[in-house]
Amino acid sequence: MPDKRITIRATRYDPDRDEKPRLQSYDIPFYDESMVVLDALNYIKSDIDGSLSYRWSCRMGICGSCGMMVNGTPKLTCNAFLRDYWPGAITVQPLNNFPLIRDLVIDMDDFMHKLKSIKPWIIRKQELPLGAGEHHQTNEQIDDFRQFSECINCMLCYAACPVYGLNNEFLGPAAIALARRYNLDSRDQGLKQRLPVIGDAEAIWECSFVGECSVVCPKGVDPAKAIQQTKLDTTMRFVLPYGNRD
Amino acid sequence: MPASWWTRKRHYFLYVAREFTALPLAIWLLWLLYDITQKTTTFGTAFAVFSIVCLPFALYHSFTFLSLAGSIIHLKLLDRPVSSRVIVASQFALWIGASVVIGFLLLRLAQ
Repeated sequence: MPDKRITIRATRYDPDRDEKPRLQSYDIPFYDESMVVLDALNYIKSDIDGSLSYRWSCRMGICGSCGMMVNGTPKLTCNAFLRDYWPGAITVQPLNNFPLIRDLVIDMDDFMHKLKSIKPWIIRKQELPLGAGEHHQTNEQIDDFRQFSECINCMLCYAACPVYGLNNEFLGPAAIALARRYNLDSRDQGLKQRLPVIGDAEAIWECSFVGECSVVCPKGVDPAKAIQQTKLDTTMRFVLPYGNRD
Repeated sequence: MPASWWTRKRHYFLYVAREFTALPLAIWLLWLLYDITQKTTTFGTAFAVFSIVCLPFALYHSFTFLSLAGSIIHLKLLDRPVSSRVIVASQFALWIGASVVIGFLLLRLAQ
């Protein structure tokens, strides 16, 4: 199919020249059924317009760098196949709800600060020396948090969340899901350090359970579930006797 | 974010519809409480009509609320997690059971 072609409309924005973002159309060859939107962007950059800016890295849905709005839906462009859109045109825009730096590149500082605030690492009250051996876990203990550990920080859930779009103070789906991942980990003892952040009015209690974060997650994580379960857990912790024990 | 964000996707629209259903239910409850404070023993036609109008809102709200229970409640039985389907089914069973019992009592009281 040498003559098969597809139109890609990509956001262009140069902060030094443009007042606001605009869409630019590119007509490119669709030469392979396995082509994804990221391949199309790479073709534009290498063969048509080298000034197009966007983030990408692994090309296999692992690094979480290439998230963009594809026809209005947050997607990893390395996992959005052209064949699913052809013969229609594809509009590629930067992720919703984030400040725009240039073309398809968003400013992710806000997310990075929020991610750091929930301390997404295993916290121990007292670190044991390496010679003491591993922290053992059963398969059942791993199953408690496994799905939340699949998050790749691609921020699609933030782009899909109208609560975050309306209030950027909201801690957001991925950060809370990762906090839950560590709070459910049998090796972790950092719940009390994370509680002031996740129990804040701008954290779990700001979420009104739209649920779109879980719909768009490319790794099958269910951040909406993590948030609602954390609401229930923190409430039970407050209400039940001995709920605040370590 | 544009004010029309909730029209972008069907999922957003259903979410807003779900949240909106609380409004007529709140008005219905306030009306009921007002009538009770007036020591009314029989409710008027207007209240009956409004109750019928509110019924689909109440059913939709209840349906969506109970459907989401599987995401909220996490239980373990014999060290195994209870599936969300079982949790949702149990919520609907409780809802139907409670409705039958309350309906039965109301009919008995009315006689």
